[in-house]
Amino acid sequence: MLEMALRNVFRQKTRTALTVVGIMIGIAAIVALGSISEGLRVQIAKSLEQSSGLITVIEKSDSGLFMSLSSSELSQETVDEVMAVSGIKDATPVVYKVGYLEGDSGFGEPSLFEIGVDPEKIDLYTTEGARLAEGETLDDGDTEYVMAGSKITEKLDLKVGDTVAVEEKEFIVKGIYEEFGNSGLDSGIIMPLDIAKELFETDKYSSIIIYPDDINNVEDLAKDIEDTVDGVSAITTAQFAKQIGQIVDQIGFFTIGIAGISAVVGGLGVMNTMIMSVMERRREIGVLKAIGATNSYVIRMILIESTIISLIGGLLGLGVGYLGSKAIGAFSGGQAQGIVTSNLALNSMLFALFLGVVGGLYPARKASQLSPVEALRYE
Amino acid sequence: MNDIIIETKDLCKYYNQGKSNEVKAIEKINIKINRGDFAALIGPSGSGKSTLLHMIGLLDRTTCGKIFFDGKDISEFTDDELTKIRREKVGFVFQQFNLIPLLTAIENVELPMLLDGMEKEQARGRAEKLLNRVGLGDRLYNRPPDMSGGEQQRVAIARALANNPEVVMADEPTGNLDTKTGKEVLEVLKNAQKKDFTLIIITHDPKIAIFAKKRIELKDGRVINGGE
Repeated sequence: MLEMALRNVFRQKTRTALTVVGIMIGIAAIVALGSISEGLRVQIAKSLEQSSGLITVIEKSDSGLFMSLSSSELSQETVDEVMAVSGIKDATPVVYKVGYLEGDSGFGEPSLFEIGVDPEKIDLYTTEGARLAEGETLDDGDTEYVMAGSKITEKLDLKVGDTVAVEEKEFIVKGIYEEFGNSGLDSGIIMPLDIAKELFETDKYSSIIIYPDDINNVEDLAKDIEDTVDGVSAITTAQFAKQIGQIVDQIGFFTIGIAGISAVVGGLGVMNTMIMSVMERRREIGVLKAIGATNSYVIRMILIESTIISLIGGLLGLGVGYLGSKAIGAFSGGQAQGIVTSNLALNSMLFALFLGVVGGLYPARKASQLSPVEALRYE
Repeated sequence: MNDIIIETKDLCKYYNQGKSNEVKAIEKINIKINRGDFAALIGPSGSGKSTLLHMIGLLDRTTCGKIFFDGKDISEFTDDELTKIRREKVGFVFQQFNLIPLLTAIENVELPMLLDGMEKEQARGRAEKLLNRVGLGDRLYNRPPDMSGGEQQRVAIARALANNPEVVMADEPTGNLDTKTGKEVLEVLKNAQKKDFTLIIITHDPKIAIFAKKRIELKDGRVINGGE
């Protein structure tokens, strides 16, 4: 039956090919977009690993975590109040600004973070795992100096002692970090807090980074801070991970949803092709039934055919989607790295299979209901 | 064992029943065909021969009356039950040959056996034997579009015999063939019939009808001669 189905499928080569392409496009879109959101998830997870045990305090806002992060403003009094909560081992306020480099694609993460931190607390900010690739760490009073992350260093081709312009002020690179795996730090230029405030023309802080006395009490401390100080949110890494995960999920859901629609259209193509094929073969199907094929045999035959079409489309789609995800990665300058997981591959194949079965059901039922005599009537 | 293989009681078939264009294709047909008979259904076009053959070949449902196949009343049988009887006990030869064009001669002959659950190898062996019997031993792997009408009809006969049927029904098997080829095909059928099955054949050709042991003549949907 399988062999016969294969022959039937390739009887009308052009029509089958077009139907296969219909499925292929949908599945390719799912694979490519799915791989990008998977890549995003992995990248974020890697960044968060770097800062476990930390609490980030920002201004309380209803507009969601990311809006709050970029627009958060904390006054000096708030910072003092937060830092007075007991259970804090060490803390430092920070100011951020997202900068842009010439020739930015605007796609993916920003390529430059301008960060202001108290030089004495710089190890707290960069977490204790920070290692210098070159040069030295900022000292108090190093007003003309900055530290650079690995990515920005590479991008601007910096060496220790080079000058770099931030907000139109020139600084000298004092030290360069090894890769953190945290995109914010890797794309960061870190300067003394006071200089940054001056440069960004603000007396507010973006956030406070807090290291607790007891690493196991992170959640309790975060809650204490929120209870004690009005108008702040204390977010732990775990919460971060959860919220970012949700957003990535939403993005993934949305993009895959759109791709899914195109795959469903491909499924309709399969249905259309199978309906036409059944109509053309009325007589043959009638003969099959006359010589002893049961209704379920006819149904299986048509379903196998539609599934062959959709699985070929699915496999090609997987290949094209994989190449597409690589192409997007290359096009975005390595910022949107797609990862085709075995799960994604398997699910997209299952979806293709599903489309084949569903697309084939109606025509298969139609075919099985043909009366052998009707089908044998002279055309 | 029942001596009567097919019997009908007041069998009728109407198309578009209850509508203004109702057609009474056959009406009040009472026939008996014995096991091993060679029966010919004769009559002018439109007399209901094909309709009757489809009914007793279990290809179509009756409008009223009963059909007894091998002693069993099949009017209440499900589609799948009818299919099973067709597969095991009935072989068809059509005027238009009706082979599956995608399949080779031998695959066409194998098909009813495979549908009946026979092992592939066994089916192949038997299909080869049957094709040899109808004189196509050298055309096993040709496809129907590459074969002449006479050859195609011989493949169809081999296919009809595949599952050792009780009855072979042929609807004008020579109608699409020239006289000489038609005669050859008929010889093949008759020789095969000597074995042990019932042959029911629709024909216009009086010369064929003459061979038949039993002649059932229809006119305007009714049997006018030879029913019992």
